[in-house]
Amino acid sequence: MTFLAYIDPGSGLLVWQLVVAAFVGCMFYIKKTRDFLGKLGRKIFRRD
Amino acid sequence: MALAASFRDPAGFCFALDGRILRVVGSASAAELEAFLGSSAAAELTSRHQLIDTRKLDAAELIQLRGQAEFQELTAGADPAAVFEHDRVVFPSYPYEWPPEMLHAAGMLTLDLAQVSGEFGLKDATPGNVLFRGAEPVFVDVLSFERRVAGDAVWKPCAQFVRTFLLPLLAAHHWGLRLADIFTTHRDGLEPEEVYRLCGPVKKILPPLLTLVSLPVWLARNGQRPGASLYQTAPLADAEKARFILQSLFNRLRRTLVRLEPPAQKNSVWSDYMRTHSYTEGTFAKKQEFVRAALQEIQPARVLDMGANTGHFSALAAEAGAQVVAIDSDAACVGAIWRLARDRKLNILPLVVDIARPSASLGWRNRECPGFLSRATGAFDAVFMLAVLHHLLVAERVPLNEVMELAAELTTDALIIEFVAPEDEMFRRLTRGRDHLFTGLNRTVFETACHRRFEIQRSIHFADTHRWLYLLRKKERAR
Repeated sequence: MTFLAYIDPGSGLLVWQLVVAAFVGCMFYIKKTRDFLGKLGRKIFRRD
Repeated sequence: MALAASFRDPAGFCFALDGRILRVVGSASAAELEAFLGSSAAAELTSRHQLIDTRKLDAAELIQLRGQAEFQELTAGADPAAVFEHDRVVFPSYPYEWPPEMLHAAGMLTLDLAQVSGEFGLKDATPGNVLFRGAEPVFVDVLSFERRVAGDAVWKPCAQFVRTFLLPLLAAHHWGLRLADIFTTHRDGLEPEEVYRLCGPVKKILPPLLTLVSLPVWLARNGQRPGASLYQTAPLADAEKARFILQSLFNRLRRTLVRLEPPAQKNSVWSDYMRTHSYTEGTFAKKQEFVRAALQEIQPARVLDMGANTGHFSALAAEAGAQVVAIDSDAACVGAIWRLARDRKLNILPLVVDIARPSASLGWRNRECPGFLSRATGAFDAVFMLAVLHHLLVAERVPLNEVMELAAELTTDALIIEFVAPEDEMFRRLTRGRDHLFTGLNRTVFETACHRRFEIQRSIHFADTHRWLYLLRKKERAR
């Protein structure tokens, strides 16, 4: 059995913030790609 | 007097000197604070009354201050690179005296400031940084602002924001926990672990408890023990990405806070009093007229309304131009007063304070947060005790002379007090069959008790009731 003399209370909130930040970071690239494709599409259609 | 709660920040501390609120800042932080105060964001926040007005003392003022023995004593051992003066908030209050509505408003203000302060961000996020001017929150801890590290995608005070705003509001909403019970014993709010123990199996997996409570608890419990590296800043190379992540975090916190906004219509034992009280329409109008005339005569600058219920008479005093502190033990009533004051822009500070058990001095050496009575003594030139005396006499068993003594300590001039005789229906309901304890109480006894510290200016009897309303002036008042 492991006894932990001290577990940092509330550290889970920071860990959770980091987990969500990593997920939102991925969303950032998805958004950027979507914005880029949208821009490209508008450019192509305008030329036509 | 060194101000409480200001010793935790090594960057500087606050104290009151000759009625002024001064902040001494060390050399390491003075330049940063000056840069923040000089920024357009700070100017805008100050003009919107969201940030306390602050100015740096010039060299001449500093020389004059340094000559004062009290200043030397207060700053002994400190490194005062600069001294700033804040606007004074007339009546400081603490989160354990607020209804959930006020904690919610303080949370919104904190998020606004964290989000819109330009290149500066907040290094802590606690209701201790907020005071109320009337019903409006104002951010007072200017040292909480720090320059943001470009690329830092983590808002470290997020956990503190959750502990001190979201979880107490959640606990008040789901389990009816009173903020007084939370903040008098937990300076830094509630840990997710404490709230987790209150949750049933279904609540644990439903939002917002899932993300605010359960997941953080499971992550802390099942993950590796976090090392110190967890708390070290690790900026991202892409500053735009960091801004996107931070913005998304603030938006999520704001959505959760909006969701936890206390409902407008809350029922409690006393919230319906204005509809169900013992007065007829006519007698209530007379009572109102008496109070209005008294206000016109006294012209008080500061009023304490004890047992304010939903704030009807507090509003009369505020409309007459007074700054009002309205206290009641019922948080639902105090929440209603806060809404009334906010919506009608009245200068009323509503606080959840039971005058029979007023908030005590709290914190380190009992000096961090002074008790309610030490802040209220002599701080008002008029005190209202409308339909409250019989509650103190009967429910709290406080002797009449004691009540009058307290009133004389709180007011510097006037007291508007309602006497309810033992024959009154409400009085008899409160005694619960112990009528014999009050057989000796009558108007003569009441007036004799008044005469110890007050002069009776006038009184009115409400026909067909056992109630009288008195306007008293203090004998030793400053003329």
